[in-house]
Amino acid sequence: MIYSLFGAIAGGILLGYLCFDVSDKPVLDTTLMTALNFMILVAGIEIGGNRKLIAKICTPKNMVLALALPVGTIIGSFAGGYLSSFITGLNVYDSILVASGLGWYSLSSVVISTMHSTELGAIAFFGNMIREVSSFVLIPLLARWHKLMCIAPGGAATMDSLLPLVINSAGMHTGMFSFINGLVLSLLVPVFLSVLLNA
Amino acid sequence: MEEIIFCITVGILLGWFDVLSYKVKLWLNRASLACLYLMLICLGAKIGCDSNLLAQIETLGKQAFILGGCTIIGTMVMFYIIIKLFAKNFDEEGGEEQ
Repeated sequence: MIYSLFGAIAGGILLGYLCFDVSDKPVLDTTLMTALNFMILVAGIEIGGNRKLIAKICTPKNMVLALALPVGTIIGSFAGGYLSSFITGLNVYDSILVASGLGWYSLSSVVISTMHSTELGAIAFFGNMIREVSSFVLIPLLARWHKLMCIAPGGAATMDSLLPLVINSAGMHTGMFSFINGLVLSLLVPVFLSVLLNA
Repeated sequence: MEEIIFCITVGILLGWFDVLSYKVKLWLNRASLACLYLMLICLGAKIGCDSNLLAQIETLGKQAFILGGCTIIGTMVMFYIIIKLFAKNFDEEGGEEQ
């Protein structure tokens, strides 16, 4: 799947180079946002339909842990974004804006590309996609160290594309925390992007 | 951004009250995957049609790699602290199921 995603964006770059010019960007933006809204609607249906899984984890101790994990992901991602600004030369605001995608490359890249700049949208796409791709390698390795640690690299993708791998590597119990982590982060990514883009 | 929050809210309500049949959900998932590819092609086209941006692609790739790596390391550090505070015995208590 990852290869086909890279293939799609490479094909898009070629298509854009050969068939479009800069004046076509508004049409592309409209298409992007329409497709994104549809995907968000479908993601919402999946989230809403998983209430039984959420109910299983509702003991006080598990709830504290289930809430601590997304908080840790947010603080760690923002801190990582902040520190990376000293290496990449990007300003702190741009770095944190990209980091606030929390691994949700399709949403963050489209929103940042449409509402901020295409350059930063491209960085958001590649940066958050690198996060997901490397998670496919890191999850089995980190699960040997500590089962909860394997949830760390995935960010918002731990509720969908990475969830089967987490369950396979660390078991269903960890998988439930992975789902909650991804769910909370997926709900918060649009809020963070909205707040940061309007700041 | 309001559109996105509206769409996810409507989606959660539709999922919560289970108003859609399995076949419709299956069809929606397939359409959603097609939309993902459409989005990526459009995103690529936005990059490809901008010659200034194409000239910077190597620099952007390096920046994205560093940024992605730093966010992973930052999150792992935070998870290490959380495990030490809240889940020292997680593997023994519930993580053994595979």
